[in-house]
Amino acid sequence: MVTRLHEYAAKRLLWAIPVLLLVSIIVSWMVRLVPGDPAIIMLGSDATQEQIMAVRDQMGLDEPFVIQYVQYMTGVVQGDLGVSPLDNRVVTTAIISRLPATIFVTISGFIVSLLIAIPAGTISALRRGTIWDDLGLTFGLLGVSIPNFWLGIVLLLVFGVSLGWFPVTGYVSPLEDPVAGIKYMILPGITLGTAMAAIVTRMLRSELLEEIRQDYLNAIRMKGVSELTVLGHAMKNAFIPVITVIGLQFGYLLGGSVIIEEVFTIPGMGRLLVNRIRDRDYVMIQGIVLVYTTFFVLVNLVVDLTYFYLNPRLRDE
Amino acid sequence: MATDTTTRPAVRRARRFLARFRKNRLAVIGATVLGLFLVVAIFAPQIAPYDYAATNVPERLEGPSATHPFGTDQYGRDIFSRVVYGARIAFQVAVATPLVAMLVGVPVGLLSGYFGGRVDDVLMRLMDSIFAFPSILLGLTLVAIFGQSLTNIIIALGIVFIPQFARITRGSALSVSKEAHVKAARSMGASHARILAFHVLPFCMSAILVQASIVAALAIILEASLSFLGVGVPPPRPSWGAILRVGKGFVSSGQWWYSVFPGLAIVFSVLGFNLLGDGLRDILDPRTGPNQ
Amino acid sequence: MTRDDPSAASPLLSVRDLTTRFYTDAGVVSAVDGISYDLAAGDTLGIVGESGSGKSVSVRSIVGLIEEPGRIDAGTVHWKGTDLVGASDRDLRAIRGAEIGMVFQNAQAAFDPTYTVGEQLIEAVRAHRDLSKAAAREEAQALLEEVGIPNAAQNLDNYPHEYSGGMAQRAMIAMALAGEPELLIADEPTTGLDVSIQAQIIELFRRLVEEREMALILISHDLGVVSQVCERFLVMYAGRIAERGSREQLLTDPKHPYTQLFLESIPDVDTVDDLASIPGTPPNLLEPPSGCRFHPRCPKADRGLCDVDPPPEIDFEAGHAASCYVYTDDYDGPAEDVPTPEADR
Repeated sequence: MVTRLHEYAAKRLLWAIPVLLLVSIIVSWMVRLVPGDPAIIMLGSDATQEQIMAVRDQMGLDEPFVIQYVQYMTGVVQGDLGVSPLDNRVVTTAIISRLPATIFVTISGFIVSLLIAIPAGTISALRRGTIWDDLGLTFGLLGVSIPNFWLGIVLLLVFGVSLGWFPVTGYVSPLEDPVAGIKYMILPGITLGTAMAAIVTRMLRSELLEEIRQDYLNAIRMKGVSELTVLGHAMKNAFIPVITVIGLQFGYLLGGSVIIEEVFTIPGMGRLLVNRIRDRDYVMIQGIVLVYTTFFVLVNLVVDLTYFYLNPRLRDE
Repeated sequence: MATDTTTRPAVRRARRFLARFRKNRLAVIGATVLGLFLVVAIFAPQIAPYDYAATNVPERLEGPSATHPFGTDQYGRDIFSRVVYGARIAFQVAVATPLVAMLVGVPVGLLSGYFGGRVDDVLMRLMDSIFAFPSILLGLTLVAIFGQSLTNIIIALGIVFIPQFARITRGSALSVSKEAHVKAARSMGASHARILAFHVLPFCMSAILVQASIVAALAIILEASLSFLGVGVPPPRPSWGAILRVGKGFVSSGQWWYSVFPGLAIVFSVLGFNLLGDGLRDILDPRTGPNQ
Repeated sequence: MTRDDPSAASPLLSVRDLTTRFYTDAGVVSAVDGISYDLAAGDTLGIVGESGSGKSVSVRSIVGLIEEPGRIDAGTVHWKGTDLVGASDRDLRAIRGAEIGMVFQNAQAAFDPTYTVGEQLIEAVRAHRDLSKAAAREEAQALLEEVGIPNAAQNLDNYPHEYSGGMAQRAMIAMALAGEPELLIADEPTTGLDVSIQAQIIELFRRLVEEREMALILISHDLGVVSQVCERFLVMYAGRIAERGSREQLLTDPKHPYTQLFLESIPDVDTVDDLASIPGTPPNLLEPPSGCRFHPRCPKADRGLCDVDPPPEIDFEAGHAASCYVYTDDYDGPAEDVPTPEADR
């Protein structure tokens, strides 16, 4: 019996939903963990009793957790993530205005990392033991040892300040002005993508090395096809486990984007989150964290489905 | 293997380990680098030429020189001294975080791997939900809750890395639980606790050790990242990340030393832990590892 | 040095002094050491020997499947006049599939698990023939039917892991035939299969050879398998040819001591005594024995003669030859301290 893609998708979706629920529960419950009264912390010591009560009411802190949760989630499914007690900003609006920048940064990182990792991993594997391989492995080690924000700063110093090739701060949406937008995304993309590229390179190299030894490649050669075709077969098979790593790395990308936004002064969700953490704006924090983790779960779902699609052996029950 | 009845098995094992350790280049380099940093961290007051908080405004924002090898910051403070003291924070984080994470992670992994079934399911789902959060986001959120202090940050980071230890321990525990000597001990009436402590846990130690090194490296980066974002160790403690936070502001005006040197400190200490971890992995379990 | 049936016309395949070595970290392994033979159109040649005897490496050398750290160090392989050793990639590609096809041991491992069998067959068909996808698909289906796979049309759309062992083997054979080769090389095609399936595959080979008028090189450590299909044999040991001849010649009158022991070690239904095994251990190819490589295990070894230089090949009657000092004038009989087979015969 062969499982079809949509059956598998349905199963995974059903699994993802409890995870999302759990995540939302944790996110809501976090507020209660704050030592002291969150409302007072947010409003400051000179807040009036009414203000405090209003905030506590909005956040459902005086109710049992279940009520608070239901209250919160009812809002969430309608797109209402609350209003910040600090400056009365509507959370949903704030997040939506910041979302595109974060998405672009994340995508840039993703693209750069694949642009680096696929050639690097392939060459490393094919030229195993040579200097190219050593370079690849060294790159791998350095990639995970260099903090991304420092890499960003160094790149800014060299390419932004010294050479003046790229802008140092700021952001232009690629949707409005593709050329300028991309220019602003290059350094952030490289910074974010490098660490992920290091890990994916390592993985691709080891998988490809395994794959090259397989005899089916000889059988394919015996059909009289070109070495390139043979390599194509090997890569397709080697890439399958690499996909799971990429999926895992997406979490890194998402987290890393927060830092990259700070380094390159990009107005994304991450900067908003960090600022609000300093200001103890729990309402906003809740909303942003919820959005981030939902994103993450969904991306993992997509990765799972892609993996399933690419690997026919999983399709048998 | 000669049967040496005069030395205890633990001593023999230790000797063998040391011999292999010395031969492994990665481990040796890693350990050397870390040893260096450890010395710097412990003897910071002796090594640092200046007090890390001592301001000296006339000498502000000077580049590297004989008196100030790493230059000075906007208050005239010696950056080299600040980096040296920063090593203390980095090391505290690097050592304490894995310990905190292990405190919960290892028992969870042991129970999961040993008992399996429902216990395993529940515990691993819990671990997965923690693992589901990208580490920076989780760190940020936890700090947001706990508040900023070195202790709180270490606890927060420790929580972030619990799943890592849980998984590794579970893997080893799972495989050793199937072995004959564990079943034999059980059949002789040994309690679960005893078995876990004396039969299962020792088997997991090498994997845990490797993981500890890796987590130490990650913890340094994570703490630096949080400090860079301004939600880490509060000033004036000179966490490397915090120094970089301010240093970044001076990038456009050309004070490159402010950003480069603290960053290098991070890179080398992390590299040290990563090399040590890779080396340990090669020594303790050469089959698993990227260096095929 | 043509050692074949004198009535053969100019041979299809002519291997001369083929030598392949592997340059590993542990040392140099001489896997194939100077073998020579001819193959005419329609010939069926079986290559037998223990594992490590070089049989697999020798045929992979023919089609250029030897990769680092292996190298063909010497010799020529003339296929229809062209030397394949050192041939360009393009020339090799033109020959693979279209003129020489190869079947491997583990059928499942011969297919890319991420494509259906049909897709891979079609790839094989279109590699050398200019056919549309639809025509290629029909061809692929015909191939599956030819090798005896039921429900060919449906099975085209199945993945390799959905095929049973025997079916996968047949499918692999079909893939090798896709280019309509004149020579089919089968490297241990029945090893690991059920005995009943083995019989079916053997029968399939017989039928294919007859119907397609192909030449066949069949490699196996199992003499029984080879003897049912092949008219001529090569017996290899430690990278060299120990003996060659027709089926009748080898089975009824083996000349080389290794062949003799090899035949004796095959249990048959009537064996009631202990099984005979060839004494000693398989040769270490990193440091092979000097002279005749079989001498440490040979019951007839003449110390001083057999362990110095490699033995010459001695001809017997038509096409039957063995590389052994026993049949030379210098042979003085076995030394005293020579291993004997363990069983009583």
